[in-house]
Amino acid sequence: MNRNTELLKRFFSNRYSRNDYQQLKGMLQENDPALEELMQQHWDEYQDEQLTQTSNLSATQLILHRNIQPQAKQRIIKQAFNHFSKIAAILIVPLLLALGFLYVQLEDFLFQQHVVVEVASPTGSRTSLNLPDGSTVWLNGDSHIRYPAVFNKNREVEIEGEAFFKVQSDVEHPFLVKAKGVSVKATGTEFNVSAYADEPEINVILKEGKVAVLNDQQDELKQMASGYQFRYNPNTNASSYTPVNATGYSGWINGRLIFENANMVEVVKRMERWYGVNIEVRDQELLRLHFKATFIHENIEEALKLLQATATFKYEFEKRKLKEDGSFTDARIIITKK
Amino acid sequence: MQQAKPNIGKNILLQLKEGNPKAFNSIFRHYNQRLYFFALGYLKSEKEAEEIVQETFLKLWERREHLDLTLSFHAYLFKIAFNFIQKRLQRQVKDDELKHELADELVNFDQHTSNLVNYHHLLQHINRLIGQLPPRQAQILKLRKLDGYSTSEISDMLRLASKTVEAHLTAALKFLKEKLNAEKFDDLLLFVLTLQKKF
Repeated sequence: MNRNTELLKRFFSNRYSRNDYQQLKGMLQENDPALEELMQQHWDEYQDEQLTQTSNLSATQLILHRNIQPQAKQRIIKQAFNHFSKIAAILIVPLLLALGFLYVQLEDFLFQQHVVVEVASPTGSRTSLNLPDGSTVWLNGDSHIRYPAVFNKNREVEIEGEAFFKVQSDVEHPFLVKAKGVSVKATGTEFNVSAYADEPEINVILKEGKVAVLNDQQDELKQMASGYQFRYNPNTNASSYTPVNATGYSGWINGRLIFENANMVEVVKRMERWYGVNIEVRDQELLRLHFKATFIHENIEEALKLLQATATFKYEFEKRKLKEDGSFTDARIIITKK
Repeated sequence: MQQAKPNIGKNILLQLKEGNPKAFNSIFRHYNQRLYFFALGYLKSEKEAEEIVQETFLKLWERREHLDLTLSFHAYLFKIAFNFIQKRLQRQVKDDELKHELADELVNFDQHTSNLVNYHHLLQHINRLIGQLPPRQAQILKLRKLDGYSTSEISDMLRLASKTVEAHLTAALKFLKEKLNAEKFDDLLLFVLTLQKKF
């Protein structure tokens, strides 16, 4: 057989032919034991090679560290028990129970396992934060997230509103985002979840990797591929799955307000949250309009002017009224037909 | 730059067997970069390579009590990693099936193109050409040929007539085939020698 480590090394260094690929594919599909032998040879030779780059795996090291900790504690307890049992098992059992109880209490206290953190991002603002496992979350306006100060078994967070997640890989502990009774389950991915209380649907957009969307019975609703959007209404069970420009939808984390063929209803809702204003559309037929636009530094007035240039509507700022308590009413914009 | 370090000492392995996290950490420091770049070469994904490092070291820790100190640790670590790498490669091969079918459809592979052209770069080249298509054509081509949706599913998804979907697909395939078959892939050859022979 002409199979040698050269084939693997060509594949490894991205210098392989279509025939090379077919050969490797064949070995993989047939579970050919030769593959392990060849790869081991490569591994043995690879040991002597000098690595020219380094990759920062400190997050992985942290995750491993966390994963091996509980077992380390159990071991200490087990060893202590073995030791004591040799002296006087009967006397020591009640004492150990008491100690164990204290230990659990103390651990809860020390490791803050029941402390829940809640972060809210007010209307008109964007907030980013790091979770205890090294994942990053961006919170859009009028949104909040709840998560434990220390992740236990699962990495579970709860949101209302819109958030973009960049999840740190941890093969042992899936990451779960709960919203509207639906869970989005991921290991290491990037995705956007939008679930505002005043909207009937939860909207998940996957930028990279894979996620599963589960209902409140933990049944799988959809296994998503990157570049797709899954919309689901928990009340009616209606859903849709469509390809989208995922980068456009996550643009808000970089301060970009992007509309890709969005209808007036969506535009109004997103602008209200983005700028912290109230917008009222007076003419029903305007709701049928669709917009395509990207705003980066524009203020609300500039944004409205640009939108107005592409469509047949006009806008007007309502004067803020002085309320009885001395404060002003919220800014209000009225949109009407031209 | 990382120098090839001497093998892990027996006493560290003994401490690992006893469940000492410090011994585990020192083995991690010794092997993590090498394992990461080894896995990266095969899996071609930074995320997956990182996950291989996690899976392998977790397994090492879980099975620490069964560690046989009379055998080569270097080979033992490989064996754990290999099982994970193989599983992921098998999955990739399955997931990429459609990508390779599309390449077969677009390029008339012969002896020359199957053996001498850099297939990795050819696939990247096809990807770049897909990027040059008008957005609608690219989207429909990907849905039909890479995600495996049927024409009627795509017409539902995008709210377009089936005829329109088919027209976009035909136009996209025509563009790609014309571009690809006009080239001899001279800049994608695996061996520079072959190129020089021509002159």
